[in-house]
Amino acid sequence: MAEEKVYTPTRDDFTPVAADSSTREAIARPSISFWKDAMTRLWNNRTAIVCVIILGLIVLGALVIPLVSPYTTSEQHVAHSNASFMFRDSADGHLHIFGTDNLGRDMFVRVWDGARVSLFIAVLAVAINLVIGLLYGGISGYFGGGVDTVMMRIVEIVNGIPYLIIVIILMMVLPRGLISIVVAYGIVGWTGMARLVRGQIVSLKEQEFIVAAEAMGARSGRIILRHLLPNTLSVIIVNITLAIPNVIFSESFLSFVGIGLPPPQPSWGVLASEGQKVFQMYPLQLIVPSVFICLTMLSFNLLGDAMRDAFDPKLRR
Amino acid sequence: MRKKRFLALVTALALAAGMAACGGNGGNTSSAGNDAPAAPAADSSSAADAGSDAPAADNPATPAGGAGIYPGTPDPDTIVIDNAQEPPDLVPFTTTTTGSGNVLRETLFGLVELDEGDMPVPAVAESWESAANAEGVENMVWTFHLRNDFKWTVTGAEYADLNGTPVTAHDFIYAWTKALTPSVGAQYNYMCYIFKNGEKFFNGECGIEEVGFKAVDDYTIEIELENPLSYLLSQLTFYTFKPVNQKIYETIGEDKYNREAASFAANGPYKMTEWVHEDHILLEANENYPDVANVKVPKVKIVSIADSNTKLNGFRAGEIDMIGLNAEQVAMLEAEGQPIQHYNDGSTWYMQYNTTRQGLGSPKIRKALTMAINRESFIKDVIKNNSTVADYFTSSAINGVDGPFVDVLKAEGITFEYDPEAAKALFEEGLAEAGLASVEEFNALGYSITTDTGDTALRDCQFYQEQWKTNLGVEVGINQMTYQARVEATHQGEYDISLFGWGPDYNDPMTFLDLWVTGGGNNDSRYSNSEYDELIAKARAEADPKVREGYFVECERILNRDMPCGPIYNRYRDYVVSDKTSGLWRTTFQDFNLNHMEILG
Amino acid sequence: MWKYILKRIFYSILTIFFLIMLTFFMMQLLPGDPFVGDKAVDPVVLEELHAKYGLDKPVPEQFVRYVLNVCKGDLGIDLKTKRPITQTIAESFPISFELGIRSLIFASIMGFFLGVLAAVKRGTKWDTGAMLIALIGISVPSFIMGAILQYFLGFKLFQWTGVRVFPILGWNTEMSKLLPAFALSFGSMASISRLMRTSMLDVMSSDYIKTAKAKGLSRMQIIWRHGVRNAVLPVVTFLGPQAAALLTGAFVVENIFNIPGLGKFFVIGVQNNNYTMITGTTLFYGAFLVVANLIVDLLYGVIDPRVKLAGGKE
Repeated sequence: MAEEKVYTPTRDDFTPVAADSSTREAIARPSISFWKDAMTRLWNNRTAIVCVIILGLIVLGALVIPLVSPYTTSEQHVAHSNASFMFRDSADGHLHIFGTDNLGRDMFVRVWDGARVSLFIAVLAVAINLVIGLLYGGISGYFGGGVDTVMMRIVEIVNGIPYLIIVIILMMVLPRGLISIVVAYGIVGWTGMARLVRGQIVSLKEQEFIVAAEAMGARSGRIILRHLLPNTLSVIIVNITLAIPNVIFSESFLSFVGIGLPPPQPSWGVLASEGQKVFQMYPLQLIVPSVFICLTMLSFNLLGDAMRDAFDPKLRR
Repeated sequence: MRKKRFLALVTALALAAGMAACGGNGGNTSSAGNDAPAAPAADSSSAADAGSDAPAADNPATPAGGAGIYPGTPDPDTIVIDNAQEPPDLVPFTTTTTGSGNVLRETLFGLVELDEGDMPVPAVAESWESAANAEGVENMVWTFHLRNDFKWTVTGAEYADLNGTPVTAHDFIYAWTKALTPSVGAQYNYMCYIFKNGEKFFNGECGIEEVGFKAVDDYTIEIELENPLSYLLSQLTFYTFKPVNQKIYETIGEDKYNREAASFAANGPYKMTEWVHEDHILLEANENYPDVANVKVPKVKIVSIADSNTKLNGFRAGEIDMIGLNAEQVAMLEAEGQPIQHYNDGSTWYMQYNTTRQGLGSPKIRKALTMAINRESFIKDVIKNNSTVADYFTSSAINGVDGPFVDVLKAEGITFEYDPEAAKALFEEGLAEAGLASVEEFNALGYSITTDTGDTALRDCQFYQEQWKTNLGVEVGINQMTYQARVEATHQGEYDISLFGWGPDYNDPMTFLDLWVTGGGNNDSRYSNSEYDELIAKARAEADPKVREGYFVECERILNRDMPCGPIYNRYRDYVVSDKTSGLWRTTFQDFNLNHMEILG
Repeated sequence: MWKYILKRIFYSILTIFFLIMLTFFMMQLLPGDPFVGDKAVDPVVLEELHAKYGLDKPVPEQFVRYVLNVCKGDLGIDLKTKRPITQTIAESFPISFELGIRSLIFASIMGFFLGVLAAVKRGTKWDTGAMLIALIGISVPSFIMGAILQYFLGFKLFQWTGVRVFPILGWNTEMSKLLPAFALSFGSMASISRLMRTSMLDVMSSDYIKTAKAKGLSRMQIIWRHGVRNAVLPVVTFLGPQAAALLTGAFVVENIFNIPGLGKFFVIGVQNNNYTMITGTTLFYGAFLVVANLIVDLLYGVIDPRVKLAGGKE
């Protein structure tokens, strides 16, 4: 039995780590801001990347394809109207990738041109809604009391009128076209957002961290902007992704009623509603715009989800 | 006369089309398009012109049925028909829509009704004769002898004591007086201007006793005309001339009369037993109708469907027996082997130019624009049915003295061709005339085609828009409005170019040609030509049919030169009936007539 | 509580008054005369018609008269059919209401369960499946959904089987009500399920859920007692405007399935410049929505004990 060597540590073996109080408080890792952190997590989400790529391609296609297409949006080849997928005209060699509509217009260029209009309207209209709704709902919900009552009464009035009428009248007053549609939506569409934000804030502001901020003397503006709004962000993002298809389809509804975009300008909504009329005979005319719409919506929604996960401090795990 | 709304076509597709309906008058929705009332030129002076007794030119009677692949609705007693448009008003003297006329045709008989060939035949009146007026002009005074076995039927239990009230001469006089009373607000008041002093009475310049109609006794009516009228009998088949019983009307009350099934007064083959608004009307054979034994179908359900997919699904699933079709649906059903029915609805579709607009004031520009539209291609490639190219404003369905009036025009060599080259040259000339330097300057005026929300309106306008762009370099916009807004804009002259359809009220070129008289109520082109006005005035006063026709030919010659309107096509409409249904008439002057249907099998 | 409700009712009446004013004066801006048609109408006749329906009076006088009539429950006469507007509403609104309620119930229940399921099974194929349904619902508008359902389940199913399972026209049998209600509810269901999922995820990551877990509650208890009850809050706010969207949006579905609901009348009225019909239905819808929102707000307080009904930050 070999004698075991036991090492007994002595006091000299230990030296204090920097006793300097300045280093004690140093931050070991680089500072990551909220936004930087969110973006990092977004980039690590593969679905989000795919969505961004799809949306990017659609935007790119919308910008480029109408410019390089051999056909214009309004050009008619009536001799081969309602043509099918990948139709090639043996007489003149015309190739219509997505076929043609009932006036023989190339569906491929129309659907890309429609993308321009639909995305433009949707993004702009939702952006207007967002700004108005956020401010309005934030102020109303935070201050409560008389301010809230008055502001919510106004929302109810706007909400109480079927938007169709306001939009119709606005379309009569304004020159017909894209901007009018956006403005009309901007004016009527924000109420949902405002109510949602208010609802969130009414329930949030009773919570402890707001009370704490108030107790520390934070001003109202700061509390709304720095504490309340960031905490409602996830609900708002989901709402935005839900609002975009609404705008696209409401636009097609306007065309139904006869006050949409002046033809021959197509939009996805217009193409879908035209396609719906003939879907039993020529399903392609419904499928093409529908696929584009679905793809866009899917991307917006999944991206919205990913952003929500990335932004929400509570979900950081 | 009825200007049809622009493109309301065969099947109202989108709801928009359905909604558009309203308006003043009928042609609104798709299948409702044609208000066409009256009829053939035939009845002029008693026996005189046998020649024009032929049915409407180009318009074979169309009892349809059988040989298809869709068996129809299962109920053995009922046939279901799509009217496309809910009748807004069924009071005969105030209503203005085709959809209403379609229901009144089965429920309310006038003095005369139309047969399968659009010829007037006895209905409540069993015989009539004409005589000279005090000045000795022949055929100015007419006496109608009424049958004494027509009775009123009101289905509501609370009105049971009104049931069986006889239909008398007074009922007609009452209805006509109502139409001529300003406070009633009858929009077709001028229909009754055919009666002597009718217009004077309306304007408060004479009493009712001076108006040219009176009940000689309970079953005899005497009519005195304001002007010679070759087509009086056809005119009397129009719904404005149908009877209303004063006692029934006043008992039920103005606010309820004919507005619900229970308070609907019928005297024809069918009575109304159900009316669910914006859903359906149920008609049942009327036991008080003298000829009820010949009413073969016990129940007819009239539905109003706006969406074309719904119609088609309903037809194919055996829930409807007759629907109107659009071009795409025709192609599909034909491929399935289902026979498709057609009829000429008598309307001419044309481009109306606002002649007070700079540039459009030039006849050369107007003609060039019209010549630059490839009408053959439009019919062959876009509407894809039997519709025909229109070279004239008068429809191909209208008869002249011998056969179709358009044949006379063709023989005269009045015509114009699609010719982009010539059109371009003419357009250049026109520009100089109008003081415009170039096509660009014309385009800079920012003109647009005004249209409404009818089913095919946008499609058609986009076709014309593109034709002008490729053939002339002319760029116009499309201004789509709701139906009422468009009608008002065109009546006020607040438009540049508008696409219209005009359907006949009676089978005579006058129903088309008097439209363009200076200051005419429907002359929305604001066209004015004293030579033209004179020709129309001469035609009105002329008794010799041949000479009169000569005036009309000259009118068309002027229209061909000046083109306040650019004719495009004469419309045919397509529909299908199930194998269960036979004897359904669809003709130029009867959008549909269900009185002679039978159930097969 | 009662004081609050009374106050809310007072404000609701005020809201409705503003609504009358707004729609009434908007109607004055609408182009087009309800009595003109394709054919020119004699100016005398037009004048008489305007006089008959009081349209010749100065606008303020018309307005006062209208408000007084509304107080008496009279919404005027339909300028086209000459029937009282209230009668049309009485006949057609119950149909729209039933359609809306069926859709709302369907959308809420399905949306609720799909949302909870997706949140609880986050990241699994259950989540993906539920959200796929939601995405289809958002991407396909009711006019396409309705047409497709009608074609396949109404017509094709009949063609293949010979049995009339879902009738295409009408609103009378239970089966005939299923397809329209489903077509209308699809979009709302999708929205609700997504909102529910988001909200549920928020709640499930909050501290009190951790506390509950720490206390050793069962998973089901945590989800139902602590999770769902709090998560449903933002969804309830959403139901108010959603009820409005269903009611006014129903007209597309009413049109496709040929259902004589108020939405169909309303849109026809808009197309016809039928002033009385537009103001009447707008007013009615408005009043209905005000009441619906009142109910939602009250519900809100019941569900979330933290919300003080009186509001304010005292």
